[in-house]
Amino acid sequence: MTDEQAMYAVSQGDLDKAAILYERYKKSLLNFFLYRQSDRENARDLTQQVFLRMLRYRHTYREGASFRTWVLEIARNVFFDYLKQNPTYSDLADVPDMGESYDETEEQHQYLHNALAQLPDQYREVLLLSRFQNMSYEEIGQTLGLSVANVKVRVFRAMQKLRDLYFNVSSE
Amino acid sequence: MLNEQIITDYLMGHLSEAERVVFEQRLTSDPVLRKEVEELRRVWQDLQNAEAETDDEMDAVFYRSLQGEKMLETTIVALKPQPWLTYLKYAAAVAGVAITFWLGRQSAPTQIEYRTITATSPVPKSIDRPQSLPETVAETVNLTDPPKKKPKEETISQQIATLRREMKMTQELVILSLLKDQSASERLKGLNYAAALNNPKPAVIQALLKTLREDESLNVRLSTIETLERFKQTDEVKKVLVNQLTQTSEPTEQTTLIETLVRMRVKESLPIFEQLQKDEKVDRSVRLLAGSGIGELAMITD
Repeated sequence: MTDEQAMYAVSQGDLDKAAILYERYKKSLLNFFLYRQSDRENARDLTQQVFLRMLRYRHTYREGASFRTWVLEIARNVFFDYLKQNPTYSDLADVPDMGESYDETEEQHQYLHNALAQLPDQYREVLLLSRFQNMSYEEIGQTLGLSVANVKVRVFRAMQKLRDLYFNVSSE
Repeated sequence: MLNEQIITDYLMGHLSEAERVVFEQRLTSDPVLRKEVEELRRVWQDLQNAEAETDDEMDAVFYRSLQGEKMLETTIVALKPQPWLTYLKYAAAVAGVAITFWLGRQSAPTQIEYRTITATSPVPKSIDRPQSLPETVAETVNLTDPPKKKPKEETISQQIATLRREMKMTQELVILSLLKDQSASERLKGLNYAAALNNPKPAVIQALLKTLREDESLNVRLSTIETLERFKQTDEVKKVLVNQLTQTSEPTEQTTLIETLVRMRVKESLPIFEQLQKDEKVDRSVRLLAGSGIGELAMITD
């Protein structure tokens, strides 16, 4: 069953199909929030809010629309609301809490996170969408209002910038 | 394609086989490019490895929420009271059904009543038209009880008129309410209802003019122009349409307004048409249309 078929079934009242979508998207959404603020508890709450809104606003899903784009739009709105309610939000000042599964790569992880924290938000977002959400260029373009060519250029520049920051941080 | 786009496609695995072979040949012959691509690949992979895992507690919260939603779906949602506006929206339809039903009730019993009188009276048998029962019935009734029919018909027509007035009032209320709705699609629905009205009240016209001046949705404004054109074209309507043409910079709206004003033969719009025709900032198609509008209006006024 595709994401779109599952979401259409949910919109028609078959709520059990929401579990399929939750299992497919929980990890990518958790990471989406974890890399936009540092607190794991917050990231978990924000992820829950996305799925809750998905259920509450299921009737607004149009049959055939890309589910990934639709749910990412909800995630972005959830995050904007979070920013409004937390004006003291300090961006990515701290290293994210990765949970119990986290192991010996902690140091490397910290470097990467520090590098990500220094990226301009437009670069960080495009990397998170393509890497953690596995979104296609078309879907990213649709979400961010960019052409496919611009998405590719932005991904490239974001990676270049991240590389410079990452290697610079890790060599200090 | 730019170098940046090709490198991104290569790292993401989006190049075709032929493109990939060509690009890898370039990499072997260009050490600077190769170093760049290798570094970017490493960052990309490290980013993937940095992905956090979910946990059982998170799952438990979601499945509890899902259970809650399922309960809501099966119980509370079905019992949730409808808002006042929903009743109002369907009131016009219910009133229409009620009138139809009532008219049926008013015409059918009349016939049954007269037949009963015919059956109990021997008089009709003396009339020389036994084959046509309805006519016999009618004549019999006229002969036996003529004064009762006229007052009854008057009452019926009065009641129909009252019901029609009430239905129109309800429709107008619905339209005024929908035009204030936050959703553009609801406002468009209100405009569709308004378009079906004959000779609407001034309040409806005023609401339409306000919508044309203030609505943020282009589609709603375009539909308002079409609706206004259907009604009596008062000076005020013409004035607002002309004024709107001076305010908007949307080529679609300008086009619709010019066409409408030409059809309505509003010669007061000529100076505005001339301004638009001369203004180089205005869309070319609008300027051309304004030019042809000037010609048409000039012919009409002559």
